[in-house]
Amino acid sequence: MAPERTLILLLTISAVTVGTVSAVRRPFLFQLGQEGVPPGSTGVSYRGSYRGGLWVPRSGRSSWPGFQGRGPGTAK
Amino acid sequence: MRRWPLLLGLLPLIPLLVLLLSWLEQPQRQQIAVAPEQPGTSDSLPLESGWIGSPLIKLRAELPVNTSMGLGVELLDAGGATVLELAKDGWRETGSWSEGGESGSWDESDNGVVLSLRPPRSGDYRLRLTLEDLLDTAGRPLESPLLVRVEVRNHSVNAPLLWFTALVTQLMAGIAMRATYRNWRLRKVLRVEDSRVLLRSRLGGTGLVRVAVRARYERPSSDAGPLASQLKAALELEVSDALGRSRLSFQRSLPVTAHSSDGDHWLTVEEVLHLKLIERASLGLRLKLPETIDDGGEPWEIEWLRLVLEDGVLSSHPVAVLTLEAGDGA
Repeated sequence: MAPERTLILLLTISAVTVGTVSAVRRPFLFQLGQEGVPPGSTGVSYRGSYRGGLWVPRSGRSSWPGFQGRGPGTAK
Repeated sequence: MRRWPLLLGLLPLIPLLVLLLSWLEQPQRQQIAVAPEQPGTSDSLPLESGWIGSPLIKLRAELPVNTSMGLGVELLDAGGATVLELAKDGWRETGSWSEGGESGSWDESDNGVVLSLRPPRSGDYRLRLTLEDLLDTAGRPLESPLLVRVEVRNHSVNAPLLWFTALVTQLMAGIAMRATYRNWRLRKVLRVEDSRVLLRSRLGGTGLVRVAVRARYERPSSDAGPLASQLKAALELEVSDALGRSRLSFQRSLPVTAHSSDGDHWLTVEEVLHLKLIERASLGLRLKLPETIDDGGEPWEIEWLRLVLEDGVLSSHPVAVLTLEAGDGA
């Protein structure tokens, strides 16, 4: 088999292997005990963070501006 | 024939199959009712720390229309210790609009929390929810309870990465198949106004030799179309080695195809032959078609004969192969 075909074959098999295994094993996913907090999403604020493997709570609640929808004034 | 590159076309199915299996997982579902000053705790939620997917926790509050909430979420381990705590500020608002004679309604909300994480070890966990605020649009507190739906999967996968992997693998498999099946070498292209072709070329090596023949016939003066159906034309192919010794003598009766356009009529004859050589060699090819095709009227005379000669041909499907022994390699 020509070297370029061998290379393409190896690259194809590597791509499917790395992509599938990474999607299933998710090596970069946040693990409880890991420093910091999981990735945030809209309207979510963490009340603490991991330090040295322990969850350290943070007191107080952040204020938020209330409704975030389009609202009647800007509805289209 | 080489079929294994075709199997590369199945590789994109691997990530898609994994995605399908993850969709088949039945999630654990619970509902938790919370009210101001009345926290709610879920039943036990087993979370797994294995490497086949990862836990995914989804919460969705059933907010009444035109309300906002502040929801405290705590994840408790089996011993009741808080291992994660967050606050979710959510809202739901509805309304209607009209502009330029058109009107409609809208219903928007941000009422969900998605947690994708892995526990350090498998075990039972619980969620404790606290409704810290439930307000109407004027900021007045509401006393009604709030229902929160909880859905937990233990083997969620990174779906966008699986789709991306399937796409990339499909592209690369296409490149691999193209590199295999479209990597032949063009050796000769001839077009002669004759019924026979004589040529010599050095051919062979890996793969097959492909001989593609196409010829066109017309009546010299008559505009009449074919007077008979299922006309045939005899193709003769003789292959000789470097010393002129015959290595293959082949004959085949080919079907003739009739064509018409704007009152013109003509016939074509086409054939593709595959030759297998044991080793690379200088070969002479003599190819012959009939000068005329007789259908009872004015004979059809050959206008031109076109021959394309390629080697290094690999086929993904079975083809009839004419085998000839190589010459002396001269």
